[in-house]
Amino acid sequence: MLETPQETFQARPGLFLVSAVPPLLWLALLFFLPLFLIWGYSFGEKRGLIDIEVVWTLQNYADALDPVYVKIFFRTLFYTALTTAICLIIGFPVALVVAFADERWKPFLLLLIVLPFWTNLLIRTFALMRILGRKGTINGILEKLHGSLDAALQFLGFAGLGTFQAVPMLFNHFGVVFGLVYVALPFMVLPLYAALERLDKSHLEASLDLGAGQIRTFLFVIVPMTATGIVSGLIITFIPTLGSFLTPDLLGGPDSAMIATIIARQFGDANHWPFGSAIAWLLVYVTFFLLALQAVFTARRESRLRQAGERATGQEHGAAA
Amino acid sequence: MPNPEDIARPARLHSEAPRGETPRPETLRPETPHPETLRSARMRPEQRDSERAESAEEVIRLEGIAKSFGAVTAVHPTSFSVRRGEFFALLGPSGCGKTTLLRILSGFHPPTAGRLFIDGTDMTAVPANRRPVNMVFQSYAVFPHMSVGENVAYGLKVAKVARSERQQRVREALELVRLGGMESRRPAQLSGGQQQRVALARALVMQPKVLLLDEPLSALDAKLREHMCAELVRLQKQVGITFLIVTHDQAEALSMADRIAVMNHGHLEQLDSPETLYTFPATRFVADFIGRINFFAAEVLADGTVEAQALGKFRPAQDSLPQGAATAALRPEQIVVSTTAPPKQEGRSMARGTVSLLAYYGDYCTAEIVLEGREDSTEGESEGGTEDSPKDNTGGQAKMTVFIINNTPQAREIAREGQAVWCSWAIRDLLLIPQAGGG
Repeated sequence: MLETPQETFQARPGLFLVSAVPPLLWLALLFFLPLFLIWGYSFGEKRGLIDIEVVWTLQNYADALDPVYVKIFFRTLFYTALTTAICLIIGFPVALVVAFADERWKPFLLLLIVLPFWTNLLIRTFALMRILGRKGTINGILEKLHGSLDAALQFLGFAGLGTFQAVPMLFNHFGVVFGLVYVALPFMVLPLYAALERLDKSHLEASLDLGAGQIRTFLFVIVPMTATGIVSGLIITFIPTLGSFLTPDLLGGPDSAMIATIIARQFGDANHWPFGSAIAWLLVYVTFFLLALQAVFTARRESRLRQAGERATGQEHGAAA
Repeated sequence: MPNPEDIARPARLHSEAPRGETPRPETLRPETPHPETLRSARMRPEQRDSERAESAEEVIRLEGIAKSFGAVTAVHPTSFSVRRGEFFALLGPSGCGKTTLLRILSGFHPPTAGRLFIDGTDMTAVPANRRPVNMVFQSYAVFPHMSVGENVAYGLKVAKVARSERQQRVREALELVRLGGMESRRPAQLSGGQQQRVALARALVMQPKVLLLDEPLSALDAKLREHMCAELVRLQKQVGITFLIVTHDQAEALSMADRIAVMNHGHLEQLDSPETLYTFPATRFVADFIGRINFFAAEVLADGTVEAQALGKFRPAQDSLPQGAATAALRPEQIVVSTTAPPKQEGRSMARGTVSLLAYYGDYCTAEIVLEGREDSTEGESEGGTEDSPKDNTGGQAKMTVFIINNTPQAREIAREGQAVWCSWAIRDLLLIPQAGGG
């Protein structure tokens, strides 16, 4: 008998171990070890320029709870939540368009969505600055429009519009959120698209057939049926955005720093690794907390469904199809 | 190898007259239909229908409905009506346009041309969610995130039916499809057949003018399908709603429907009661698609007699046949097989032959009998039709397929390959299809 590759694999634990060791080593050496070191540092004290002694102090965490940092922490959460929400609002229609597009166009549309990944983030961010800046593309267009409108109004004898004021889109909250949405959007669209693609379109037709309009169909059929895709989209957008560093640094102003910027500064200019480690771990705790919340939510939903099922099965009196 | 069920069913279902207890809305045609009637049935069904439509009120009327997808024409201009309260079937092979027509009725496809009336109102441009018809989807499309009760209540909620009435109607609908007390179940916990009942209840609870069913039985296994057939007929009688079913299975259509519209290549071939379709198929396609049949090349002569290489010269039961090439058709069950020559009878023909191919199906056999010294040049049907129809009288030797009921003394004699036999048939059973009508 010829075994399937899976059977071969399962029948030979040695083979399984040998092939599992490299990735496990990779994970241990490059993920768990650094994480553990940082965790240790967060309870440490600086001794001289580069030496750190782990003395199990909570001082770094206490410092991190200083209102200055708490404020940045909440700002980060706010930016991230806002970004995730905007991504969902923009991303859902995009995913719908791709999922419902003609089969011929789908690969092309998907390519357009992943295309930004082919270019370095730094370069894209600089390009974004060029577009959003005071003398940037958008303001340039606005200035031209302003000029023509002004001329037209004056020609018609109305009062002019005055001098053009560039719309501030860079080095402020807007710039940061715009940049974050720009970076995160594909991460939201792809899981949504995958969920919509799996959705049997006849459910939508059934909803219309039963008299529901497009909006009701969207809210009561599409959204619940793609709930898992929405949740994974939210998570996969929220977590990387929470740790954004480059975008707020380049597109933000003095009052739009995010927590990752602070962390980077502690490991860089400020040279205070124990404090940076403590903030970094606070971020990890928040992420864990949110993931745990999501897991509890999912588990409760599943058990509710299961219970409903058991109740229903108990009611059955052999009513067969 | 032909599927035994496909062959066994038509004859049996036909002879059992499954819905004999209720008079059909339409009586059988006279035994000899006027060929012009048959031809017009294919060309302009709505005209022929209109003569009788006065008595039976129509709930759906199609006027020249056509649909193209780009350069592909799915449905050529088609006109017919569905009567209130009837069980109507759209039958045809895959790709014949029957599903497209159903989706035009439900409002998911706008027709390219023509007008659609539902209950006397022009619904051509009305979107799906504002049409008084409801559909049972082939994939059931039961909402997985809602309980059975919520699924059935969905349309009522949309229609803003008050809570107490809603609950009452949901309960009744579920009882109607024999799912009483299953309101709180999740679709994932139901079998395929039960999910389909939910889909049925969900559509029926809306009290539609017409219930549309898209291949409702195709996903069920054979036993369950038979059961569901009877169930649908029972339901239709109980609720009195017009049912319009789309199917590619002629046995389903024959056993359930009051009237069947046979479609092929986007054309309506014939619209008639199951008995008429089977007994007097208007076109060669219909004859071939429904049941089994033998075709023989024939020619209608100027004096009205017919000359067929395989069958000899005879005067057909039909008169006013157009002169020229035609196809003579004979159902296998109309052929009597014996080992000795049957006595000569007025109005009957006979031929000597040899049993050449036997296929055993348990309760009966099909035997192909090569007729001695007779030739036939009927070409195998090029378009449509089932592959395993006994029609390949190609090249030379004339053959006819017959049924032999097993476990009879006669069967033991005949059902041997190489056995010399006599075939005889009534001349009035020979159906002549003019070449033009053969598509």
